[in-house]
Amino acid sequence: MKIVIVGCGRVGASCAELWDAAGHEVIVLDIVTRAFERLPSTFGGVAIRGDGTDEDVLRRAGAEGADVLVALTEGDNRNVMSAQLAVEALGVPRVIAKINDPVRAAAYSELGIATLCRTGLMADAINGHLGFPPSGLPGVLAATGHHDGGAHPAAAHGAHEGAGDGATEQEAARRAAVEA
Amino acid sequence: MFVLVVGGGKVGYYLAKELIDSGHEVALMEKDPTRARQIADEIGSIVIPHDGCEGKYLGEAGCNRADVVAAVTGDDEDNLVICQMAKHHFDVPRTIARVNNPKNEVLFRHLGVDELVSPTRMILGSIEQDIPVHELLHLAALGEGELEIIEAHLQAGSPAIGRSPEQLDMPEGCSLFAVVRGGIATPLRPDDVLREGDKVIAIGKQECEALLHGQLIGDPEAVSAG
Amino acid sequence: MPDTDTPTYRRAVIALNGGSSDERIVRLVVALGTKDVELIAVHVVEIDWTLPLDADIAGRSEEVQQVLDTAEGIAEQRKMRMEPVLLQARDVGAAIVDEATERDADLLVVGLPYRKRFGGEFAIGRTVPYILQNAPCAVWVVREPMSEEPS
Repeated sequence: MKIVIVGCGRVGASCAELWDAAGHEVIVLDIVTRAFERLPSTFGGVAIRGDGTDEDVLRRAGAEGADVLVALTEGDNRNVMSAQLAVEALGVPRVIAKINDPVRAAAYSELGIATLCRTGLMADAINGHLGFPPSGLPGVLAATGHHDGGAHPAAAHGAHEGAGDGATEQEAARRAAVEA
Repeated sequence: MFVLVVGGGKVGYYLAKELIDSGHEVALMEKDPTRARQIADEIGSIVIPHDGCEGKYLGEAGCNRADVVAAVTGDDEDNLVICQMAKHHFDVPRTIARVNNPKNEVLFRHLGVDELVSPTRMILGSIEQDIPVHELLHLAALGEGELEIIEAHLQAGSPAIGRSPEQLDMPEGCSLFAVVRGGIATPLRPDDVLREGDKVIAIGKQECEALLHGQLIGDPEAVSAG
Repeated sequence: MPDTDTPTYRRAVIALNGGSSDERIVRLVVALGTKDVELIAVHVVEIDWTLPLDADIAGRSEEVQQVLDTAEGIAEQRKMRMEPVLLQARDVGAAIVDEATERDADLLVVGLPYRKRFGGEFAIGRTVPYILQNAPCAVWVVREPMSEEPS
């Protein structure tokens, strides 16, 4: 698969390394070149310095025709915008945006963007470890709603994936995880 | 009207001030506490010193009862998210976003932001108006851009000079409706003869642009020299 | 020492917050006043942004009315006139300062409960600093004893 990762932090770099090693075509973007120091020297994918919320940059990076885009920068809104650009302008069929604000994470999954919320994921990892009940905060949410850009053929495809079928959180997590 | 303004930069500050002067209820969200206090000192108790991108604070700011939300921060992605949250999560009837990168306009409009204001585009427009180019100048797009209002500056070599609109072979769905001559704009009658230096205002479908260019500016090849 | 014949104040705005300091400050102001002073008791109900400013909140609440009634009762015992003022505002400090300015008061009295922030630091809140910074007249801040409001 062709996978675009926006944001080369610890998570972004780890995924890039894993997916590259598993034989996927990986493109990593970050606005800071130093972030690429997290990538191992064996990394065979493409690392590009650029703003993942800029359509031109995404296009130049080759995001058009990608199968997946994962937005993992430190800015919730940058991730949202990057993911929406990928769906709307570039026709990427599957996108995942990291959104740490639980309210926004829930809202965007209803708008057709699969979201990852570190707040919920961490809280529930701790709860699980201690044997406490889950927090009820969003962790990994599949896109349950239809994205506004239903008119776009690729966007419609993306929105239908995992649409309102009452997937449990675990199912959603598995669904969102990119098959290696 | 209750207007929620997000972003307390220069735009947000003056916007809030003007709105209050015209008698509207205004709340301004500004995440930088120092800036928030500064504005509150100057305008009064209208400032909510929190990040308007955070769902919780949007709620506390009364987003649910806002008639209009204006997202005017310096970051496009923030403005987009604020408008989308307002629209879809809080059912705000009208959202307005400031867009800095003109390329984002299409996306924002597509994602349901009701109105866009692009300072970059506006300044660009003014600059282009001053530069004599052998091109059509886009004045405005109507609807989602199906129809455009275009200005053509007739210069030597234009096939339209010395002819009237009825003598021109206008593409279908396209019409010339006004002329600016010597700085004065007048409606254009079908038998008015066009002169060199005229600025002709046309309305037409986007796809007619090339034909319109040929009629008013001249042969594209001759201009761009191949 | 000030001349004992000069009144301490002529027109005082007493800011009431509905807490335990209300009674203390009203008694203090009353005790230091003469028969001809004007007392204005102001109670501000803060309205959050989810509601319009003119939402019917203060008028409906017994509790809110009680705050002003108690203050009036204390003034009455000493045969002093007191005007109760009930306000709705977005920000308590600004509303109190506005009232003192409009009334041309020469004294503004406010109570301050002793509270600590999470982490143990003394918390003065935002209303008292705002008043201290912006009130045009003299300001008395009466801090509660430490023991009365443990946090």
